[in-house]
Order: sequence, then C-alpha cells, then structure tokens
Amino acid sequence: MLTPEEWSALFLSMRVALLALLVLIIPGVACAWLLARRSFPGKSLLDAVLHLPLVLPPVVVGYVLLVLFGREGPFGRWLGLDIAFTTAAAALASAVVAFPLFVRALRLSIELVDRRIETAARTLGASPIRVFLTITLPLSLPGLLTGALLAFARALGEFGATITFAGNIEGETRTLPLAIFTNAQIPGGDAAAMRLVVISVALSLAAMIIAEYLARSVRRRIGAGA
Amino acid sequence: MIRVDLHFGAGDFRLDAQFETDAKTLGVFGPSGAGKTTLAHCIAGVATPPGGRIEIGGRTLLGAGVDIPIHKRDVGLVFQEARLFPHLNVRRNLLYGAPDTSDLDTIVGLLELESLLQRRIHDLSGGEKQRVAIGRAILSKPQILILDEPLASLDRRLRRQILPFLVRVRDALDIPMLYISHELDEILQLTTDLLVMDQGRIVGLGPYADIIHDDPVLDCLHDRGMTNILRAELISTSADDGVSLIDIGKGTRLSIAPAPEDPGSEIVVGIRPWDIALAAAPVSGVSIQNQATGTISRLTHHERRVLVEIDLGAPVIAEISRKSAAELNLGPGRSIVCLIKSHAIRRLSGAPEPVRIS
Repeated sequence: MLTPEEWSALFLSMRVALLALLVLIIPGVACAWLLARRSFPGKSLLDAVLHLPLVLPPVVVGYVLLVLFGREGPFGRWLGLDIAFTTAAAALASAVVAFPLFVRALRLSIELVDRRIETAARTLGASPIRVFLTITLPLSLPGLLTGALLAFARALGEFGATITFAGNIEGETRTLPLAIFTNAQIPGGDAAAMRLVVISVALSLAAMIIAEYLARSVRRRIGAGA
Repeated sequence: MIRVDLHFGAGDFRLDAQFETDAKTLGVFGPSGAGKTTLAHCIAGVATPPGGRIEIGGRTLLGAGVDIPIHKRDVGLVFQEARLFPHLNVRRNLLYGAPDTSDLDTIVGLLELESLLQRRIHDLSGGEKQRVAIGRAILSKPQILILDEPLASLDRRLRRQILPFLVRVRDALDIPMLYISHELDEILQLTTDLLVMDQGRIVGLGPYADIIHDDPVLDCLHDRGMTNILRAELISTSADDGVSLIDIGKGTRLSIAPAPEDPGSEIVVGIRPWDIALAAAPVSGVSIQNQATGTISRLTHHERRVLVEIDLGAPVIAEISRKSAAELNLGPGRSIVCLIKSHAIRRLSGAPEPVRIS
C-alpha cells in the first residue's frame, strides 16, 4: 500500500517526534515548575523567551538553530555539536517549536495543585524535591499528558524549522510533512501525497485519543473526577 | 518543654507570644484572629517570622542563627482541613511520612482505621479524613503534635465522635500535644492546661481552674464557652424518672438527663458556672434535682461577678453576682450547697476505653 519511501517518512516522523519529547521533557518540567511556583527576577523575561517559538515563524527558529548549531556556529564549532541536516537536528527543531506548548500545559496544571497539600507533605518530613516528585508531579499528571500530546502533535507537524535546520533528506530528515510537500512538488505525486495526508490525520487522531484516555484514567485515579 | 519567644507584626496583625510550658498536652484557646494558627505555623516552620526563638524539647527550631526547614523540624501538624493526598489511598497517606511500617498497625488500631486502609481519599467522610490526617501526622514520628482546630470543619455530632479518639491518642502515646481550638469544651475534654490568647497576645497560661480567676482570662473566656468539665461514672438510668444518676467523685451524685451509655461507663459532662446556684443550707420544696454540699476552696471578686470554687468531690466553679456573694457571706472553708438543675448538666461525650501502648 505504501512505498518504502513513504514507510520511511512515517517511521521517521514518529522517531523524530518521540525524540523531540525526550529532549524537551526535563527542561520543560523544570521551566513549568519555575514559572508556576517560584518568583525570581527576570521571570517575565523567561516566560516571554519560552513563548517565542510559539509566535515566531518556524523558519526563523530553524534559521537561528542553524546559526547556533551549524558548522560555523558556536555550538557546532566549539562544542562539536555539528548536527545540522541530521535526524538529531529534525528532533531538536521540533523540540524547540513544541517546547512552549508543553510548558504551558504543565504549568497550568501545577498551578492548580493545592499548595496547602504540598505544605502538609513538608510537615511530614518530605524535602522540597520529594514533595515535587511524589505530590506535585503526580497531581499534575493530566497536564503533563496534555502537554506531551500537544508537543508530540506539534512535532509531527513541524515543517518550517525542520526544512531550514535539518533539510529534506530522505530517510534522515524527510518527515511526513516534508514528504507530502516533496510529493506535491513532483508531477504524478498527488496520490502519494494524499496517502501521506491520510496517514498524518490517522496518526494525529490516534495520538489524541490515547492521550485523552490516559488523562482521563489518571484524573479518575487522583480523585479529580472523570 | 516548649519555649516560644515571638514578636512581630504582619500588616494589621501583631503577634506577641512569649511563654514556656512543660505541659504534656497544652490547650491553646482564643477567639478567631487571636493568632493561634500563626503560632502553630511558626512552630512548624510553615510561616516564617522575621525573628524570635522557638525551642521544643531543648532543640532550637528557630533563633540564634538557626532556622530549621519545615521538613526537618519534626513537628506534626494536623490542619483544620485534613489535607490528605488525593492520589494515594489511605494506607499510603498514613505511611507518607513514616520512617517504616512498624507502628502502622498500632496507630490504625488506635484510630480504628482498619476498614479504611485500601479506600480512596475521595470516598471518605469528613470525620474519617480527619482521623487519617491525625494518624498520618503521628506516624511521621514528630517531637510534638500540633492539632490546629482539627474538628472545626466537622459538625457537632462528628466532633463528639472524634474527640474520644483524641483522648485515646493523648493517653496512649508519649507525644507532647498542642491542641488549638476556639471551643473551650473541646479543649477541656483533652486537657486542663491552657494557653489563652487574644489579639495576638498571651492572656494566660496555666491550669484552667487557676487562671480562670485572673481578670484578663475571665474576660476572654466568660462569653466564649466558659464551663466546668467533669468526668463522671454513670451509676444508673431510670426510664420512669427520666433521669440518669452520675458520680462525679468522692460519692457526690448528680442526676442528669437520661444517658444512653451503660451503667459503669465513664462519661464527660459540662456545667456552666452560672447554672449553679448557691444556698447556705439545703432547700426544700424546689424542682431542682441536685443539691450537692461542698466546701468553698477559693473565692475571687471581679468587676461584675464573683467566682466561687467549690470542692464537690471534683472542683467546680460557680458564678454568682457580687450582691449574692455579699448576702451569703461566703468565704473559703465554708460549707455550701450547690443547686443544679439536671438539664443544666450537658453530656459532652462518652469516654472511650483507654488503650495503652507500651
């Protein structure tokens, strides 16, 4: 039904989106907690910077990444992180673009956790980090799942930043959107493009249903109602 | 041993609390806004006063360059709302702060939580939640247990049900307790050692029967539930007469409204000081059922009233007007008859059987 190139685009997309999730999850949780629970100088600036990828044209994000991580960029040259035009670059581009969506969802969820319950945990001898891991995070799991879904879906659909920073290399960086774009460019590629469009829709739907199911069962378990 | 020295202002509120106590169970009484919760939060480290000194059992929690963080203070705090962890079941809530499971069975037995262990927090009643919260705090092995209005969010009937558990905890465990409440009844069922607060200041500290004679304490307590709390043994109940007979000590028997408990069980009753009338000699031809003779042990004159402490087998305080006191020519050592209507004696709670834990 699908050609080897199309299968490759599908699997690559999944891999890139999951990698992007892995890349953003720890800094994302840290930023969400900082914004939800701490006040410090420069907080609004951090908030604004974190939201930039949401409002910037993805091409700009991709270009900045290229400048930073390219062969001549500071990370590329000095740290040896010359990852431009690789699968890692595609994942990083997706992670950066999806980052604010994840942080936003988790932050809102953390803000909803009753701080008095956290205080009660402290009086029972739990250190701040234990309180976060055993109380705050489990209670904001619905937000974590929603954030992860949004980030995953956004990563699946990433186009502008990816093509700028990672290029359009088959089997390496040509994810579903890029494959659709490529097929749409060539004469006779309409059928292939349409197949990929159907797969994209199915994939996004499946991700949404799974995340909704998980979030619901988690909410039931933590007693917040269905 | 608790030693507190806190003086600070926050907005309109000012706390000036300096006291030292060896009481094993100290009741902290005061109207709302008196600073009781602020005091509790300062001791637990939940609130951070700008300075001052707090010591528990010789350990400095605050002061002299020390400010131990909440989780290392070993202060168990039970809040007005139970604040249980909604994502954990009862058993895991209980064990959250426990170093191990060794005391779980004991505490579960003491608070009768056996049937709740696997339940979700969501499915518990208000009273059950508060019992779990108390158990959870005890199991974290604190140096002191502070109960901050633990019954305030429960209705009267539930309070009656939970108080006996607190009495059990007090008797069975060797943890000093600070019991905070604006209900004097409640406190006096647990302890007669009292710290009275009003508007951020300490008004009095000491045994209830002593400090009640001090004007500032009397002014604070008089219209806020001042009462006598007596532990009595139920002798018998007569359905025909519509009364129960209790013994409050040294053979002094009083009749009260019928009590449902079995004869022989211990019950707690409250009598308002102004519900006790005094007479120089037994009175005949009155409807008042109780005429108990005792000796006046103390007499204090106040601006509007006279407090008379009478030994009826247990010390009982009566309040009369200055005019009556003058006419009766009262004085310490004199014998006097107390007239108490049976319906003025309120049954507060049946005491639970004591459970001793070695």
